[in-house]
Amino acid sequence: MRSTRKNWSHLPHDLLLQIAKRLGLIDLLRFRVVCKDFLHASSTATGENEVESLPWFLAYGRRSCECTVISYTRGSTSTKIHTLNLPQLQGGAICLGSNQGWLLVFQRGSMFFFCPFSKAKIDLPDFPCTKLKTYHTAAFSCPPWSQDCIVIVITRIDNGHIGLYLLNGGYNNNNNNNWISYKFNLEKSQLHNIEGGAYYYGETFYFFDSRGKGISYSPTEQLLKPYLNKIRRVIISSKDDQRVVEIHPPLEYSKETIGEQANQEFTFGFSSFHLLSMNVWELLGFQAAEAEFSTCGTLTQLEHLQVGIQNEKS
Amino acid sequence: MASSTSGSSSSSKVVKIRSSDNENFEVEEAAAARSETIKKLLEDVGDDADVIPLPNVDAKTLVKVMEWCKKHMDDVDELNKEEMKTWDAEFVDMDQSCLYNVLLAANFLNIKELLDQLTQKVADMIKGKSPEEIRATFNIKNDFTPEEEAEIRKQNAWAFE
Repeated sequence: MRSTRKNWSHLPHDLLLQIAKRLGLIDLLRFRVVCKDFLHASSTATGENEVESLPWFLAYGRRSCECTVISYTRGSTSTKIHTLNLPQLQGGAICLGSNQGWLLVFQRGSMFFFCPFSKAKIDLPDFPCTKLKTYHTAAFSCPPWSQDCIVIVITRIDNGHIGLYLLNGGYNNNNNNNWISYKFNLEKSQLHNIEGGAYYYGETFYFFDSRGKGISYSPTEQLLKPYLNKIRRVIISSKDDQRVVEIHPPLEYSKETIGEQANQEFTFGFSSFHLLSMNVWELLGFQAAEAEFSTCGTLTQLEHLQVGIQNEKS
Repeated sequence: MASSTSGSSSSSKVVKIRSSDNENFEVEEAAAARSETIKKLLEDVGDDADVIPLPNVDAKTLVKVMEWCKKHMDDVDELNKEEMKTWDAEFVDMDQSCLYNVLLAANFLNIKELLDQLTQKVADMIKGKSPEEIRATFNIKNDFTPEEEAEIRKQNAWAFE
């Protein structure tokens, strides 16, 4: 019988793209080396659908363009360390937020999105401040190529006020949107510098200070709500993951339940000491005390709970 | 031999479709209409339709696709969801040449759910493989020059460790 093996590189590119979009990051990068058709067809795939993995950690240095990526896979004990050359992050780059493989970076007065794996860089309109003198943190609603992408940067302006900068449109900025600045009254005694981090979940942005108190902002309602209640700590256990998560009572707004031990109903939690529990410093080859560090957190999912991983500082 | 009559439900309307190798099939309209392409053709020709020609799909592939359409003709209730999942998993577990043809047919016939299942199946076959293994699995010729390949690998060298 004659062999009827097909040439898969001849598939229509839209079909190849549909296949590529179902691959995680590493599989996608390998897919692109197979042949020219696979490479060209998959240019808009981003390898973001790795729901099974914990957030990865990217460490970048001030002087060298050599960066380290630590990847984790949930359910597997292996942690992988990779080296990347990213000259784009050399020279005073500050990462303000990260989501689905994209970083929001402020560098020498300009703000841009950067994907460390495709090296794609997307410039944003001039940010109202040319220097970040105080602590700023940011969140964005979805990958930057979507026209629904909303970026919010937040900071404490002075003892009485919080500053919020909002940009609509992301990459598809056809309307030449610019940053919109808002100023809200909020005493420092109520809410410190917003160093805990910024997250986007359920059409709402959440911001936390260093003590774990928070505020939320809804762009549709243009409403800022403080959540200054007492924090409750809960142990979340799943098959291969156990950690303490801080739950903010006002954020318990859904009926989802997680874990038997938790025995509570909530969807949004907040995790500190993530780096410590992940042995990041050991993996990078030095002890935490040896170097000053600050990290930019992100949002992850544990069971049905959305967990914000806190920004950390030594 | 050339035609297969649809099963039990005598009241349901039947449409005729013809494969690229000129075999005629009679299929329940509700099953055939899972294909957006056939549905559109049926709307265009109305009741005057004699046979709907499908010049891009051969008989063997059409039989396979219609098997899926027939199974997915009605809405699945909760009870049957698990059973359907098992059936779908067995359905996409076909030999590679067949998978290739059914994938192209599902694309041409515009059957979104089937296309989702098939592209997921191919993605699952790719996962965890090196570029060389992917080429070997799918019979793909490497058309990069060694220099071009080295350059692409260099950009994300860590992914190939």
